[in-house]
Amino acid sequence: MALPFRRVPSPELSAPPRVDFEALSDAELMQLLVHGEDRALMPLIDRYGGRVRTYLGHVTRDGSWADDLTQEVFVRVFESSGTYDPRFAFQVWVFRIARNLAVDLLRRQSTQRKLRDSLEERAVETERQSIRHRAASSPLQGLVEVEFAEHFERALRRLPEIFRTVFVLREVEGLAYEEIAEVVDASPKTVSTRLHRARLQLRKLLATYLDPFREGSLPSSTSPEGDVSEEQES
Amino acid sequence: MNAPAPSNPCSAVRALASRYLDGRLSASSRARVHAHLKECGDCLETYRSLQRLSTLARALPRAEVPADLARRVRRTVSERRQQTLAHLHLDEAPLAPARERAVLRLPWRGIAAAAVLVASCSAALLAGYRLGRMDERGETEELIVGLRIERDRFADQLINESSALRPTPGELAQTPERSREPRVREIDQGILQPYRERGFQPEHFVRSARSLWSDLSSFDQLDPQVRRPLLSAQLSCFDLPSQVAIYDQLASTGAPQNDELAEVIAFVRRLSHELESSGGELVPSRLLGSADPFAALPVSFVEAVPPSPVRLAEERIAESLRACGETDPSVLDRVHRAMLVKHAYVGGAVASEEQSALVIKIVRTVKTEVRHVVENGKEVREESITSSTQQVTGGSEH
Repeated sequence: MALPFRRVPSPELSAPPRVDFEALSDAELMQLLVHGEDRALMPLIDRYGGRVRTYLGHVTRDGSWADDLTQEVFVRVFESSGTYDPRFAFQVWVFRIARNLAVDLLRRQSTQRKLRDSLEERAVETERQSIRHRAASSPLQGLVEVEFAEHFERALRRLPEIFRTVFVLREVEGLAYEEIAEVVDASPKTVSTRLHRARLQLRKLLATYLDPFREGSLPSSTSPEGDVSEEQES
Repeated sequence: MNAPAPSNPCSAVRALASRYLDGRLSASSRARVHAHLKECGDCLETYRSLQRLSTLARALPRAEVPADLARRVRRTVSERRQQTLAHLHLDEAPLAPARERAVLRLPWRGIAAAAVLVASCSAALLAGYRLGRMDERGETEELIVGLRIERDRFADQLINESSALRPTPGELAQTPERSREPRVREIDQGILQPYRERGFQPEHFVRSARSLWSDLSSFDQLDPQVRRPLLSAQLSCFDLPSQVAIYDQLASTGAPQNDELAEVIAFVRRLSHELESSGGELVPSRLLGSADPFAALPVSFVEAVPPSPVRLAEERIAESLRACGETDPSVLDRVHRAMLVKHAYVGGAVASEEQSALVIKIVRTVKTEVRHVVENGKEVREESITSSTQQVTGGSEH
C-alpha cells in the first residue's frame, strides 16, 4: 500500500527543545497526562505520594491499607486525568480522591466489623512500626516526638473520620480552610468548627504531652495573614 | 451577621482559640482574644496546649513515597486497560462497534473535536514512541517532550483547519434539503419471499435505511467534502446499494413488488446517486467484514478528504517518525493503519462528551499497540541482522 506520507524532515523535530518534567507545574503535568504522556505521572508521585500516604496512614489507621490506597489514588489520577479541573489546586483534587477512597474503605470495614476487629491489632502494629521507621529518619528524632507520634496515632484513632481528615489536612498537610472545605465538600465555616472540636478532643486525649509550661507564646495581636472578616468567624 | 454576645468571656475566647491560632480572626476579635489571654491563666493554658498540639503534629514524621509506586500504578492502569479492551471486545472485532453504530454519527463539531483529539493523541503517541527510542540511546536526560510545545501549536493549527471545514452560507444553500423519513407500513412476507431467497433482507434493509436517515439528518448541513466520505462509509457499512441491486434485479424480471418499501428504496437510490455524482465510491465490503483491523481498513475514508486535519496529523507523524530515524516501511505502514483504526473509532464514537472518554481509552490502547508494533519491528530487524551476521560468519557462534 502506498503511504500517503510526505518525506520531508521537520526542522523543529530535528532539534527539539529540552523540557524538564520536574520543572513543570502540577497543572501542566496534568495536561500532559490527559494527552497520554505517562511520564508526567512520576513528578506528581514524587510531589504528592508521601503526603497522600501520610494522610491515608492517619485516616485509615492501617499501614498496609494506606499503601494500597495510595497506589489506587494515583491510578485514579491517571485514569481520571480528563476530569481534572485546572482551576482547582491539584493537591485539593488528589486529597479529595484519597479521602473518598478512605471513606469507602472505612464504610466497607464497618460492615465487616468482625473482620476488622481481628485485623485491628495487626493494623495498629503495622502503622506503629511504620511510625517508628519514619521517626528514625525524621529530623526530629527526639524521644518525646517518637513517643508522641505513637500516642498521637492512638488518640487520632478515637476520633471520627471527618475529624481525623480535617485535623490531618490542616495540621500535618498544611492545607487552608478553603482547600479542606473543597476536599471534604463542606463550607470553610464547618471545617473551622470540626477542626476546633478535633483539636479539643486530641488535647484531652494527649494532655500529658501538651504541658503548657513546655513552650508556647501568644501570636502578635496583628495577624500576618491579614484580617479575616467577621462573617467567617460567625 | 454578628455572633451573639457571649455570657462567659472565657468560653467565648476558648471557642475562638482555634481560629486565633490559625490567624482566622478579624482584627477586633483578635485583639479581644489577645487581651483576654494576657489576663486569664486558664484560657492561656488552653491556648498553649492547642499551640503545642499543632507544633507536635506538624513535626510528626512524614511517610515516604511508597517504594516502586510509579511502576505499580502503571501496571495497574495497564491491566485495567486490558480488561476494558476485553470488555469492549476490541481485539476480536475492532470495527464491529463502529459498524453497529452506523460509524458516522457525526455533526461537524464532532469532526473538529475528533481532529483535535487525533492531533493530541498523535502527539502523545509520538512522544511515547520517541521517548522509548531516546531511552534506547541512553539519552533520557534529553527528553524530547518539546513535543508538548509542538502539540499545542499543532492543536491550534488543527482547530483553525477544522473551522475551515465549516460550510459557507453559499455551500449551505447547495446542500440537499433534509428529506422526510421514509415510511414503511408493512413488509409483505409473501411477496418478498423470492427476494429473500436471493439475499435481500427486508427487515435489515428497512432498519438500516431508517437508521441512515436518522444519522444523515445530523450531517445534512456539512461541507460536501466532508459529507461525501461520510456517505460513502455509511452506505457501505449498511451494504444498502447491494440490497437495492438485488431487489432491482428480481423486480426487473416481473416479480411482484412490495410497494410499501418504495420510499425506502427511493431514499437509498437518491443517496447512492448523490455519492456517485460527487465522485465518491463505496468502500468495498470485503474491507468492512474482516476481523483484522490493520489489514482491513477503509483507507479511502480518510484519504477521500484531502485537506482534513486527520490527514495532516498523519503526515506529521510520518515526518516525526522519520526524524526519529524510523525508515522501515513496514513499521510506518503499521503506524498508518493504527492511525486509521483510531480515525474509524474517533469518527464513530465522538458524538457526545461521554463517548469521548471511550475514544480516549481506545486511543490509548492504539498507542500501546503502536509501541508494540514498533518494538516488534525492532526485534525483527535485530533478528534479521543477527541472521545476516550468522550467514557471513558461517553460524559458527552457535
